Amino acid sequence: MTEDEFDAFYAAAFPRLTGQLFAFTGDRGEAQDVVQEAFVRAWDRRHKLRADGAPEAWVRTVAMRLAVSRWRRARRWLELVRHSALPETIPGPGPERTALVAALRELPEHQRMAIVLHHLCDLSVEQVASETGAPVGTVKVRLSRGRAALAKQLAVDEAEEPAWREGGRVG
Amino acid sequence: MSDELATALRELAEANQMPPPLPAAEVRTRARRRSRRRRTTVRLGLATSAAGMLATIGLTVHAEEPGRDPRASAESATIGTPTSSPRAPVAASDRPAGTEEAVLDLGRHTLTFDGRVMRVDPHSSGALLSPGRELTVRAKHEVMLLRNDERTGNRHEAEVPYVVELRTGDRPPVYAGALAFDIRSLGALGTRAGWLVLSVDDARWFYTRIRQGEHVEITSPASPVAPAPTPDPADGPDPETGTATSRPPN
Repeated sequence: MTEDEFDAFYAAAFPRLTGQLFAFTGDRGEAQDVVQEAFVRAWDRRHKLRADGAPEAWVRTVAMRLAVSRWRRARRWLELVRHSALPETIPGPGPERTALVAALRELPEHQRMAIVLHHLCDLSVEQVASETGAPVGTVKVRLSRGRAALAKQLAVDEAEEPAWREGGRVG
Repeated sequence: MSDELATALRELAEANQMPPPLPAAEVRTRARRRSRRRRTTVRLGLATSAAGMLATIGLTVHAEEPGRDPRASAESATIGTPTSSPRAPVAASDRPAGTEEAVLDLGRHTLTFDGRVMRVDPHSSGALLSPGRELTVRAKHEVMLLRNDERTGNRHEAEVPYVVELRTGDRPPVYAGALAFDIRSLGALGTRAGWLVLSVDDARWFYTRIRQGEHVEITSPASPVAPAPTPDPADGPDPETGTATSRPPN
């Protein structure tokens, strides 16, 4: 991948990837940060990325792993400081958050990743299994449970006060 | 549910797409900076290990063969290497691919590659040599023949040994080579091409080690690049004025 090709790829794929990562993280700033970092790492691998033929999938996978890694660090930090006066939950994503974002954030990260990759990024179950390193059967279970949890959550949101107003929680 | 979910997710993602906060050039610069830091760390680690090993070997040899200077073998191994090189010019084929990226520092007028810092005299018109840009090795010419061209005032043919042809995309080439003749005659070399003038030793070393497809990163200029002394750009010859030949260098 030449310099010009990388620049064109960056300009075209960055917005799309931040949208997908927002669905995964529920946080615009976080989505932008991890996609940016994934592109910095992509530059070092530009020759291999061109050979692989799926540079966008590589950047998305790296960005999702970075997001997961950040969540886990944040969660550990929260566990460490839980005894203090700090809140036990991470603040929600801000005024733009929606019931769907809140419902997604309630899902465990494996289910959320499977849902986003399969239903938003149009990856097949086999491709999701390959990207996440999980068996195909496990991915099917995660999708099924994730969909069920979302349906339940969104049904509650419609019937009652929206859950997201109470603040999101890191999955 | 699946279709509704997919539609809702797509709408959510589209509504939250964001443009890049940084230009692509900045992303590349960050990646290169990080890569350089990694290489420096590795080199420091290797140097420390090597120093430790040499000290151990030296002590062992000294202990086993009293009277023999352990440094003698190290000195004999460096005989014949280029003056500023820390090691012998290993052929490009002996070096792992993609392990290095050459760095052209326009401020210091240096070309650094594989641990060797070479003095370079950069000449270009336009933005061929701009910081942040990256050049790719497109070809290597053992000898490049620069033909005489009365239109540009070049009355002499010249042979330039060990020329590495560098390009960015479809832009005109930048040649790195050993220009032994008067630098002012660069005006006849083509107004659109850039030149990185090296000493013969450095040009030979660079030509031997760098491979096609490898990159030269251009970094921060503390001082502007001297433009080529070309009187009339409109009449300048095509950069391809230089013709590669297969003859060995003189």
